[in-house]
Amino acid sequence: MEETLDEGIFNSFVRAVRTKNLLSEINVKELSGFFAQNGVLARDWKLLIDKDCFPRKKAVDDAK
Amino acid sequence: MPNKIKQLKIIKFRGATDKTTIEFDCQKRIFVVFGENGTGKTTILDAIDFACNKNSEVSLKNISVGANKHKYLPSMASQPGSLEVEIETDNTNRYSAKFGSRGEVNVRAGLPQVKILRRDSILKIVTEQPKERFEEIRGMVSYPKIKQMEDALREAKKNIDKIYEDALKAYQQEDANIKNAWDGVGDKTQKYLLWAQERSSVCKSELEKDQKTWAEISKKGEELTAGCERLCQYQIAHRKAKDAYSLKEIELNKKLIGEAEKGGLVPLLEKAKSYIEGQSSLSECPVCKGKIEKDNLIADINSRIESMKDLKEIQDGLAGLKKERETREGQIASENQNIDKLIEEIRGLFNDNQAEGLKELQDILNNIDGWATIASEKQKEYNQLELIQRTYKAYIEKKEEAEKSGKEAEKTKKLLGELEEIRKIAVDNVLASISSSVERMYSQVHPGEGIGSVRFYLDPHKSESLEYEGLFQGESVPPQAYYSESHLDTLGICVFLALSQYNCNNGIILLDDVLTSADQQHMNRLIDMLEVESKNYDQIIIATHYRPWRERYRMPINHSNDVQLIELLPWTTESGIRHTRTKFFVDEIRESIAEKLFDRQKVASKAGILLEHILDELALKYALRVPRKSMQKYTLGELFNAMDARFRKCLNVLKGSDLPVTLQPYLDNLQNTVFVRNDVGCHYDYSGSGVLLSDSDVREFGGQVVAFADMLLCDSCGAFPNKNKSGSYWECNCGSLKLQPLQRP
Repeated sequence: MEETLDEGIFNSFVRAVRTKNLLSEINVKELSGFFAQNGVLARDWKLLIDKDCFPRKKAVDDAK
Repeated sequence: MPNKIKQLKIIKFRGATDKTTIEFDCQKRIFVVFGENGTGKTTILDAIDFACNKNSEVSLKNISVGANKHKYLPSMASQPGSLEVEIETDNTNRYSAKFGSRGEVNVRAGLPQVKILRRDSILKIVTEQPKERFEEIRGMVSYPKIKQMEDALREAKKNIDKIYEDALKAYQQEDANIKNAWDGVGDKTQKYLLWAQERSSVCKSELEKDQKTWAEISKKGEELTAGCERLCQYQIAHRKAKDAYSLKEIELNKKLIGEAEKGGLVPLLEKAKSYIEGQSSLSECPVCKGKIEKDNLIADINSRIESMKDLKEIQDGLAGLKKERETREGQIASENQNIDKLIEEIRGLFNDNQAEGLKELQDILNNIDGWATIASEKQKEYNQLELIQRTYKAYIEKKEEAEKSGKEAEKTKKLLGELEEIRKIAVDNVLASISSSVERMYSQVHPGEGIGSVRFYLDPHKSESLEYEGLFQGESVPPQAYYSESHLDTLGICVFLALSQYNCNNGIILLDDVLTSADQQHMNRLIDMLEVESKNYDQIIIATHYRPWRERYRMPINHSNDVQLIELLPWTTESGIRHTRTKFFVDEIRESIAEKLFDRQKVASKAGILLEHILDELALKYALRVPRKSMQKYTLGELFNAMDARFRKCLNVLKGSDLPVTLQPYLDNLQNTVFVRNDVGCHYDYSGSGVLLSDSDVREFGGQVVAFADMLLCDSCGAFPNKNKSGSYWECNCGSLKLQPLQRP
């Protein structure tokens, strides 16, 4: 199954976030709020976290 | 997931007034549905569109027949309920599409993906406005989740930028506050921030203690001053009360003497009056026993008391003055105590040496104003330090906040920028891929014509606006403004194919009589291109009334086992759509030779046409020498003469791993029998040699031509060896058949 344009962009974005260290923990908190306000699915946003962009936050989430 | 249509059954749908069943050979990719106008080509494609795309408007979509277009889908005089399109897929599943009660198409899921291009929509994507053009590709370049995320990031950036700006302003304000304070009281030998930093490190408590002590001294001094003033007032009031009392006393004494001279005293009279009033009856004086009348006596006493009222007032005033004098004396004593206490307290706020100089009240009073000034200055000094320290603390906090939010703003900007860039690249890649596919196809149709290089791009200044440009005589131009109608037609087809390839890899495409405006040369190239592109689809179903297309596949040179020809017969109301599978020309001759009722003229004629067709192709392929003519049509004699013995000897065919077979004997034999074609298949010859030729002679000629054709057609793919991949021989599509040499020796 080929990835959709959405998925392709998202995966490239995730790679860039990870390699360029584009997000901080504060960003996660702030952006989570904005994403929630703007109707971005928590699942999609969480994907960023699950894809090891925020290992520390992921560890906290997993612990919960 | 089924990919191909194996069988199509159409019942009471559009032109299919009776049941029509069409079998599709799933081993093939290209299906050419050939028919003259009005034979039902569009109905067949509509039926597929109806079922696979649940399209209730099909080819009526752009036709003005009112809103309820679906009511025109049942065949004439048929009820919507009797309409049915049934599709059997290559995995033998059957799907029945029918109308629902509201005119919707009901069919279970699972049918293959189908894209259809109709004549009336070819130009749509190339001549539409950019906005509408974008709609054609929206499905390919849409990224709803990323758009949501991007919008949210943009909103986040806006808010984080605002937080940063506010923090920056607050920080700048605190910076200005420090500078103002420094301008007022700061040490000008230092820079203002350094000064503020140093002032911030000063311990405030000593200054605070000092300031509080002086405030206390000042306060006590003020209280002492007030106490002294009050004492002074009390003393004055006491003196006045004392003087008034003395005067009143003198006045009273004078009055008392006067009253005494009058022989009666008010108290005595009041006592007497009280006694008399207390008696129930009284007729004689208790003192002199004289006769009296009680009421008259009381009235007399009252009259006398009234005349002595002044004396009473004097006595009352005297009592009041006495009381005031005593009060003032108490106040004076109390204030003296208060003053003594304050003096002690003030002295206690100074050290011993200083206190030594403050023994007397006057010493203290002399210093009170000075102490107030000192207290005020101490208070001011303390307030300034307190303000600087508070401001510097706020400055540091706001600076940190601004730096932190600045970093967050920067990160969010980078985050958004990265996402925008990635999205732009991804969309550009999609468009580049589509553009590249269009170019690949278009250059096949229009090689060396100075047009093409079509590039699609999104207008960066507009939302969802698809622009495109193409080459025209070396210049980049909007093709719709410069290209001819046929060039735009072929461009529209290429764009449709490119989009459909990108949108649904493989899948089925339907082309509904799309080729009309191009000349034959371009048509041939377009058909060549479609054959090449067919590998990207599971099936291409082409409806056409263009007869050369039919002939192209019927004749061996362009024959391919990948193509199925479906020929529509004239339509009638009773039978509806009728069709037959078109026979390939070689098979037609083969069957004619085997027929019991042998038609010698038909065989001779058709075999001659087939031989002409093959020899002409060989002459073209090997650039054989034929007489120059204005019309490039050659007789069989001319074509045979162009093939000399040397050429014939080296011409050979290899099939699979078989040994090469030279074609010389085939050609020699055919040259010897070719007269059969003229004598039997071409000319009127009632008593000549043609009549004398036996059926066996004709069958032999026909058989030789068929055998020659079979030699040159691949057993696997059915194609003539037209491809030059190796550079040393010609080969068929699958490479199993090779024709040598590549060029005339």
